[in-house]
Amino acid sequence: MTEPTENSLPMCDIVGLPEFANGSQDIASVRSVAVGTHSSGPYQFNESEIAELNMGPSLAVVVAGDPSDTGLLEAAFRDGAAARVSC
Amino acid sequence: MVRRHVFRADGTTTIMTVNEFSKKGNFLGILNAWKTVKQAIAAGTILALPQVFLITMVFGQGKRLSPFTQALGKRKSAFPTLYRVGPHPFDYLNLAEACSFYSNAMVDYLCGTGFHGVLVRWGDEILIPESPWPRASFRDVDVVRFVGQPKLDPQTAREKEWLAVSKTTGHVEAHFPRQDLERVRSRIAGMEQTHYLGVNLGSLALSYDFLESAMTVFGDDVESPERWLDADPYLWVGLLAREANQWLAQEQYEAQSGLLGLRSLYARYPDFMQRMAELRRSSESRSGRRLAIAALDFGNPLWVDMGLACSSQKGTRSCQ
Repeated sequence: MTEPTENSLPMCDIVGLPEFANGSQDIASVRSVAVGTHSSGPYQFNESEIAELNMGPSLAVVVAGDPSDTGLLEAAFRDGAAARVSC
Repeated sequence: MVRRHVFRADGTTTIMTVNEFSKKGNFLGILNAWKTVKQAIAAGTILALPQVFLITMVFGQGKRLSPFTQALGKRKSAFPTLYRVGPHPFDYLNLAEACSFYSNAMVDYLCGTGFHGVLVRWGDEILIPESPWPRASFRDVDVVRFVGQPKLDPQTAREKEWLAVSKTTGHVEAHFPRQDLERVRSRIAGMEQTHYLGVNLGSLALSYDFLESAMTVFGDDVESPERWLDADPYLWVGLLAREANQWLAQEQYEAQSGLLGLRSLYARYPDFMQRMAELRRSSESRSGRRLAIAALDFGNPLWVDMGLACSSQKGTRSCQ
């Protein structure tokens, strides 16, 4: 029995496959394998492609219930463009 | 560059955070976010209202993922996932990011249906439909409810809320709060040929017109620090209960079962059903048609609620 690694806890329930426990998979492969194990037919959704084609939302609003949550999102989308904080 | 991985690669997604300083509940919280977006548009901070935008709810007390959340500042949505976007140690998406990432296809699909409104997602779950959605028109729809038909054992089924969906129109016609599934089935007895039951997956989309109608009814409550209101389940039960006996059936069931949900609601909103009638009237007056609540069916979805300890435990076992 393999001890869970630090990366094996969060998402292995999503994919349910041991090869994802090592954390070496990127979004696209996790996505495609997750779908491949779950969907019976051809699957057309691909969030990575949607992002690359700039078809995702042009506005994303994060609702935080606590001031520390606001910090979460500023950290979360950490590309240097500060999120605007409102109340 | 996580933001460009999660949303638009060209970086043109505007991200706004709305901080609630008092408990609003998810329905008033959505209205509060809507009010804030409109203010930002009026102030010129946001140039225009998109056809569909995304709201991700990240609030919570972090109790269900304790003790991990203590190390994350009580922020369940900061929980790291295995979704990797780059070679560095920080290049794993956290739960809020992963949830947002998996909302892109939903936004894209809703745009394709002609829907104009907001997609609301919970920041602690990932939801992937079993198969592609068929082409549909949600142009004349006020609300889109996300339903699924996951394989559930009787115990889990009892803990879910169920929606009755018309096979003809694809619209939700009844919402059943948590109760024994056999009882739900008995309540739709005779409708099996025309309706099917789906599990309420929680996420939803609300049209801009519906949000405006809701603001006319609940606008003062959004401002009040004492008021809070969740959407599930009573808002939907109330909106769909056009006949008094439909609401009475819920009251009687809760009284017989010793449930306290309605009692708590009435303590805060003794005029709740009048408000529901007012919201329905306002919405129908604005649209010029009957209130339309469509179902978006995820089939047997990949549905991950990271706030559930048993789900995480199962996940750990699957890696052993």
